[in-house]
Amino acid sequence: MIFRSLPRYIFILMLSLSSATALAADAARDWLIKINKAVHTLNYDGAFVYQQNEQLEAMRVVHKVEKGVTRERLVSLNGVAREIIRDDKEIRCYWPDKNSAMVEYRKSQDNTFPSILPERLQGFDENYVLKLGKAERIAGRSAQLVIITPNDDYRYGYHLWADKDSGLLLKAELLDSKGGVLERFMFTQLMVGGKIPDSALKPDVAGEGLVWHRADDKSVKTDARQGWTVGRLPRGFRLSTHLTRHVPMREKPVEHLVYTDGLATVSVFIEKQEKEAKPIMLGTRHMGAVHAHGAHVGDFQITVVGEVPAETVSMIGESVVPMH
Amino acid sequence: MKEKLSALVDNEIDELEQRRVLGALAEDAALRRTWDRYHLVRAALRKELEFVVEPGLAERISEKIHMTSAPAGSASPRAFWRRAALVSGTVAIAASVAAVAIFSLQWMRAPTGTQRLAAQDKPPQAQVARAAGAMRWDTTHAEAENALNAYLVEHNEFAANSGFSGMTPYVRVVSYDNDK
Repeated sequence: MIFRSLPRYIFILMLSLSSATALAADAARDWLIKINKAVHTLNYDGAFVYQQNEQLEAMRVVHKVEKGVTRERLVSLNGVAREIIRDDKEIRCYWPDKNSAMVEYRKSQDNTFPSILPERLQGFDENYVLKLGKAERIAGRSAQLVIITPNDDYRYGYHLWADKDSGLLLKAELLDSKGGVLERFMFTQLMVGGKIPDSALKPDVAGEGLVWHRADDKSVKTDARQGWTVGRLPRGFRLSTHLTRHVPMREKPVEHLVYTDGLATVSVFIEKQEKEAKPIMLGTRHMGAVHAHGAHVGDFQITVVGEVPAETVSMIGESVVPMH
Repeated sequence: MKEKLSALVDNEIDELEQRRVLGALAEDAALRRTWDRYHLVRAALRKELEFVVEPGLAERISEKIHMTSAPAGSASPRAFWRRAALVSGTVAIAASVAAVAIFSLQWMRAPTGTQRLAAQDKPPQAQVARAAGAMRWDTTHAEAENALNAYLVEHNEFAANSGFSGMTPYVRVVSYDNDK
């Protein structure tokens, strides 16, 4: 009797286990929503450290949201006091040591919330597992750990610690497939909420005497689809955008394909070169956790860039082919 | 509801309201068209028309809701939007943790095809030496480095719209090793 009903018990047990997992994932999701929300709604002023390999940086960030417009200021606390001030229209960078400053016009903006979603949505669950970790104390505040684990080696994992009160992200780690930390960001001191005076968003550097540079803000976008495609994609990546545009700093129009797995994004750029010109780049390069791969097909330079492991960009980069 | 929709577009409503509006949006075609228009107007005001939401996007999302939810049975439109909110957040997080916007370098290093108000940079070849552990591409080829930086900025437009702190991608700009 008991043996006959055993499969049923196992079934029920499995069912309840899987729904418990689903509940845990749901709770983790709620935290992610909260983290995202916090950035768009909260004022804060704090000091944080940013670590990548051997390099450790200390910075101050001032973040103010007023009438839906976010303004931010980032100041390097060690060495030269380089600063970046950003609002919804432009980004200003100050380098006192170079006696120079730069303005970059922003192009794509904060209307992320549903505008880029449909492509993103499909991949997330099949490529990542979400769960809650322990509660911890960070920058004197209690924080909840959210763990995002990739299902294979073609993408990175994330550990995120959110402030229990406000949802603000207090600490974040980017992880490789062995769980090693590639990059780390952590607040050491933080004030959340309250008024932020406009003076806190002004640069310490005086504008006079600086040499100003302005980036080219005329990037022409057409949606002429040309004939390139990727032959081998790591599982879970899908094409989300395909366009041809003038990229600032590049002379010729560049075909740009964007692939996403729901969280990580990889760009493929195809640029025509002069006949018999040398390839600009061949093989895989990296800067911290960001990888790039160069290949040459005919007179075209292929460049793949993304916050993904080396295998991902090289697999994609070596398989870019003309459609016809 | 339209007022709330407008607030949603501007990201000015609380989480509970947000879910309510998203639920309504998922069920009401007229409201979805309004939503498209709001995004268009907002983008126009901010001169972001090249990145504007395509007309009918909400319609297509709605179709997808039905496509994806029908076989699963349990997934309601509301659940879809909840996932939407989640993914939007995580994408931003992923982008800020990992993405880099090196506005400094192409500009500091005199690339071709850039409008500048003043030129004071040395030619790129003069600056190729580097220090170990510095935040730079691991290439000594100036042309490759400039190309990679230009591409990275473009890539970031799609990877990072706004980060968890918004500024974090720029951490590397402030700390980027221009001197070496």
